[in-house]
Amino acid sequence: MAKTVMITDDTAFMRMTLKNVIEKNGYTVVAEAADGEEAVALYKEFRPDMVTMDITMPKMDGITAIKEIMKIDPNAKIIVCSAMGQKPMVIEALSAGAKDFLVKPFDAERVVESLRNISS
Amino acid sequence: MDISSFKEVFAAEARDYLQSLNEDLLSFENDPRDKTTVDEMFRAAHSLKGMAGTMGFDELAEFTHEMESVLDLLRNEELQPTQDVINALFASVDTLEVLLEQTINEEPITSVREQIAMLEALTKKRPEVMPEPLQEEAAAVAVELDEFKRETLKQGIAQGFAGFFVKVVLRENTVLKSVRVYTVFQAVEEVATIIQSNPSVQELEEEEFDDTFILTVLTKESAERIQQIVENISEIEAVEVEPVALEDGQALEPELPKAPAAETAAAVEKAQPAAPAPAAVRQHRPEALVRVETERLDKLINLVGELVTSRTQVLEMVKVEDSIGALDQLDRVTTELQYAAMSLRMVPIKQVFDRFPRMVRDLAQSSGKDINLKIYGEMTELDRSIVNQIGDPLVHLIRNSIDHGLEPAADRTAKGKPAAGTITLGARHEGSHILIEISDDGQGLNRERIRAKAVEKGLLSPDHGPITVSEAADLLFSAGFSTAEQVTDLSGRGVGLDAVKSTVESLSGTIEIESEPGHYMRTVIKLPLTLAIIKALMVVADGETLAIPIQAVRENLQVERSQIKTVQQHEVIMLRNEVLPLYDLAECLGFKPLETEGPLSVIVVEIRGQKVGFVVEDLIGQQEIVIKSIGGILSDIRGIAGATVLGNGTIALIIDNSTLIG
Repeated sequence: MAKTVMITDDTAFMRMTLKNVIEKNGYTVVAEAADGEEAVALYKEFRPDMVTMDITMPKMDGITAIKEIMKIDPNAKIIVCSAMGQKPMVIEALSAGAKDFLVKPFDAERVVESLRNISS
Repeated sequence: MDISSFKEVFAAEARDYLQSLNEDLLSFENDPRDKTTVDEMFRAAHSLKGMAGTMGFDELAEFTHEMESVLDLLRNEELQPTQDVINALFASVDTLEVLLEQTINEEPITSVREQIAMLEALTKKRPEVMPEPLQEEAAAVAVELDEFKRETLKQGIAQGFAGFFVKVVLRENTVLKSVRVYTVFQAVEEVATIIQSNPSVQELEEEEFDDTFILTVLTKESAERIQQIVENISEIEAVEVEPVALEDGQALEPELPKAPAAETAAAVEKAQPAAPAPAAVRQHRPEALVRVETERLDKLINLVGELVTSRTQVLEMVKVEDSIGALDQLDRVTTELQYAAMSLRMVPIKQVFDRFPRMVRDLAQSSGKDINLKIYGEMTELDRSIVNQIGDPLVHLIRNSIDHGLEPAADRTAKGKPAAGTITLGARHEGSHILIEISDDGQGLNRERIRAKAVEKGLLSPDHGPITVSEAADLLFSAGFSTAEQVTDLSGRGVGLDAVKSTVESLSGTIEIESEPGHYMRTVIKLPLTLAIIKALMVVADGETLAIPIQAVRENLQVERSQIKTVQQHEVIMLRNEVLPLYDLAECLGFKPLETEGPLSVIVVEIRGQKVGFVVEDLIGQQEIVIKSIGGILSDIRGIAGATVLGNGTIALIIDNSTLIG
């Protein structure tokens, strides 16, 4: 059975690009969240195998969302997505429990590698 | 905590580090294979960086950081120690010196962008060595561990852990390398304890590394498991896990005897690279030292000086027959205290000599001459104030040797001399003096050229015949004389040896040149050990008490008037077949000449190698005196070196015998 993924990003464009890459590579995108709060709620509902998490988002930022999700599921597999120059936040996300990180602009191969690595 | 109060300590220590960087660079240039030296330099640069960072001296910290990066590459043999690299490092040390002094003195900091760019160029242009096919350098994973880390590993083993080197190569275009490293650390730390990381965590954080880093870990997991864990991290090009082996050959991996014996042996070799040759083992700071401000030291020495005066005063007041044990004790203790205080002022001349290997090296390079510098007696001690002032004259003399003395290699070979010239710099004690020798095996004094120059400068009449070596030397020391045919970077700026001579003389010293034309030239500077307290012979002339420094005094005589002869209208006396010119000390100083009947007290003094007799009114005896400068407008009086306060509170002038007679 294909692994399930939830995409979290406040821009529809990014969600779309990511979804395209992810589904092309045999994963199923089961949910898309536009902010941290939504991500936490959708995680509870769908329990996806993996999550991509943007950092800068309205309502609840990615780091808080990671912390919340880790509370719900300590085994959650989250990939944090950042822009260049967000190094301290990436580190914070990683120490909060994210398993890997991606830096925008995304490289399709990197996205797939990351999914493969954290799901193994 | 106010960090600025540590500035002095910082400055002193930083200067030490710069000095040792200079020395290490010199020895590194001679033997670029000596890994100990590079390590030493790296540590020095690293420590400097840390110190500067702590003080908030960002420019310094940044620059040392760049330097450290270059040294790190050298250390890891990723950069070849070419002459360019070495020159760049020498230049960097110079830049650091400037930066340091500007920082300490709170002067505006010169921009070092160019120098930084130069260093950066070095760290970038080196050929890629690291990411070679990994299988081939399987045993090269090992890194050097310090004592503490090795001990930690040993103890880990004892508790059933295995030690591994984990070599991780990041993909070439990895973004946020430091964060990637962080994920590796995170993953590894879940199953292992990281003992060490090469490059250091700090360097990894600052992305001061290529693509490769090596972790030394203790774990209960297998090598395969560690490998798998790291391989599962994104953007990892390659991972390699090797058991750690210590120098005693004991593989730190009891459960995993998988490494073939040969491989382990190779790892052992790597783990303790270059069992350093005994000569290379350095003692960086062999003694425990306390840094004291020189002002405080001077005050102490001054006070001891006063105490010596007071003691003399007390001893004078108490009649000899009243003198009891307690006074003898006072006398002895003050004398010892005085020597102890004086010894505080004494520093090894090494402080000055240390700068010359570097200078000679630079000058050898820029002049294209091959030069060996031999140094001896650098631990010879002399007064700090002399050490501080003797540096410039020595620089001058050494430059002269390189510029005018040593011939180009081709000329030397033609003369049957070794192609490389030798300059000898040395110091040794001789009685209460120190002798400093600067000699070279070059062409010696060119008397003809000196004569011609002297004629041109109007110092000699054009019809003056050939001159002797000592006449040539005298000319060299006269003001404004310089034989340099063109003004070079090295010497010949016209401030000639006369400046050297006057500095030496202001230190109560003498300077002499010996030379055999075509073969060598040797300059010997003779200096007193200390300038603060001297032994003097107290005499009376025209009712005034005067002090004659004892070093120059040869003997005292009672001379009958009948013994005085006149040669060429000058009074002389015969002393053991030597003819001594006789002077009246009072008259020399412009006092009223002695007019008494009966035998005369004559002090025999040696002036510039020549014995001279001085008639004095009375002889008081030997005494230790504290030299005080007269200062101000009176400081340049011919024949007077200073003054001292006597036991009875009166002042006595100190005779400067070198300028007493013309």
